[in-house]
Amino acid sequence: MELVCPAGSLPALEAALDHGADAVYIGFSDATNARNFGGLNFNDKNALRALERIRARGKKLFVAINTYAKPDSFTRWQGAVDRAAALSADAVILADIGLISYAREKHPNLALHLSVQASATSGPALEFYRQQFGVRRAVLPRVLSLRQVQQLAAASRVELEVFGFGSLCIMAEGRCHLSSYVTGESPNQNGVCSPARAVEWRNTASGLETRLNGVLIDHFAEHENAGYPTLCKGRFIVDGKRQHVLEEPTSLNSMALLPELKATGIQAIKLEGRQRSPAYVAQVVRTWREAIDAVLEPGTEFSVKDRWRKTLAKNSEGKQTTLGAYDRPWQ
Amino acid sequence: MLVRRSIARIGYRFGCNLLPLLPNWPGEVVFIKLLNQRLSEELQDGLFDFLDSKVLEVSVTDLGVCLRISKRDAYFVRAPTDAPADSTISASICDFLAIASGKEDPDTLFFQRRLCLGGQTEIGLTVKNRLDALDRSRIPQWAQRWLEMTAAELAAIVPN
Repeated sequence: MELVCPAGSLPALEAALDHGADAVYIGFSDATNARNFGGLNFNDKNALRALERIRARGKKLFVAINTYAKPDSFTRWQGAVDRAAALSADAVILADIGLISYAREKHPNLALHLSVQASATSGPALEFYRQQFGVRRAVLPRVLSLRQVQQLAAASRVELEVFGFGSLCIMAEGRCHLSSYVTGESPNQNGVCSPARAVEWRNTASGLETRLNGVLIDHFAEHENAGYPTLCKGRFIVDGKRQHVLEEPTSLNSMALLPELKATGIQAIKLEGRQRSPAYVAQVVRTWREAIDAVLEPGTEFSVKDRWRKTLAKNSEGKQTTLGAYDRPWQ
Repeated sequence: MLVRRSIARIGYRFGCNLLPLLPNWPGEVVFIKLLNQRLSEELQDGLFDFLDSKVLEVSVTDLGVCLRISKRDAYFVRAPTDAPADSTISASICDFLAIASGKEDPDTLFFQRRLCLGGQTEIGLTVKNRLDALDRSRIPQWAQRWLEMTAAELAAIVPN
């Protein structure tokens, strides 16, 4: 089981390698990736340095080009695929079907991974991507329950990668328009949910207000945990009560399911967080490395250590971690 | 170990009481000089151009220290005293040192309300990302060790 780790900078990539990553995924510094924040990601010079450090350790480098091109900007997305191919990245992680087609035709030897943003949730969808484009691996959307993941894995001829840990969103992967509703920019087209230019924190007598493009979306009392403001995690007054209407800020943690995921034949576990610092990457990667090593150890019974749970909880957005949709028996 | 902790405790108390009484400018001059020395390559490469004519205010809450920074040409400069801050970052000395020594993730501290951002979020976020991306191996070994040690000592004596 491969551990696929996030890096938004060279020090984060180093931290991932130092603490047990099998593969690291990065993005270029523009809207072609879904973590398009100021000061984050890799220009060509740093991408080359990233590759050198990956090769020196015998690990893999994936490049996420996982947003959707607009009709007038397709060449920029094509250029990103060409740059990843020129870099000899081990794979590109793509969502846009036109871009997948381009990558297959232009770079026949480049391994293609289907991004979670492509939102492929059924066996026939995965098989279509494999037959048409030779997609080698798919990252499964976080809407699937464990039982559904098991059903997919039993029949899939595509390698499957699932999310292990990271901030959760409302899981309408590749289809969410809430951010653009308020700010005019969305993850799928602009690579950013709640662009920082639209975010405002205002300290008031009663606590901290957060606004998105001028729209009040939450208010925190003095010692209440805060999250990065996204519309889905805002609190609104409905039926006279102020509450999380869409969802609470929460992080996914599927560590407890590692034995089942291993038995199912899942090839890779993905950790979220390219926007986070090297300190986060170091702590979270080290914890997952220990857990995966433990689950792969033959003849031992796996249980989640308290120390691991604490480290992950500390690095979580929101107060809690959850098994997310993996644990929805009604699905 | 015990001696070191006692020194840290005395030093910290001394700092909390004394520093708020002193003017900010000597600290600003030293800090900005250090930044210009250490980040000259990044400044030349234009990686901090987003701070041109902007005012970034960094407040160390428990020490009562407030550093106001701007940028002109390829240098960080002290911000004019009458200019309002475009972006503010504040935290305790403990948490700033934990971030600087690579021990704590700024987002984690932010979620826990220990690190506060104000004004234009984009400036604060870009500063965070740019600092995260700096090659730590360029910090001299002794300085890294000092940072880690001081961060650990302060973390042990100051409650969050």
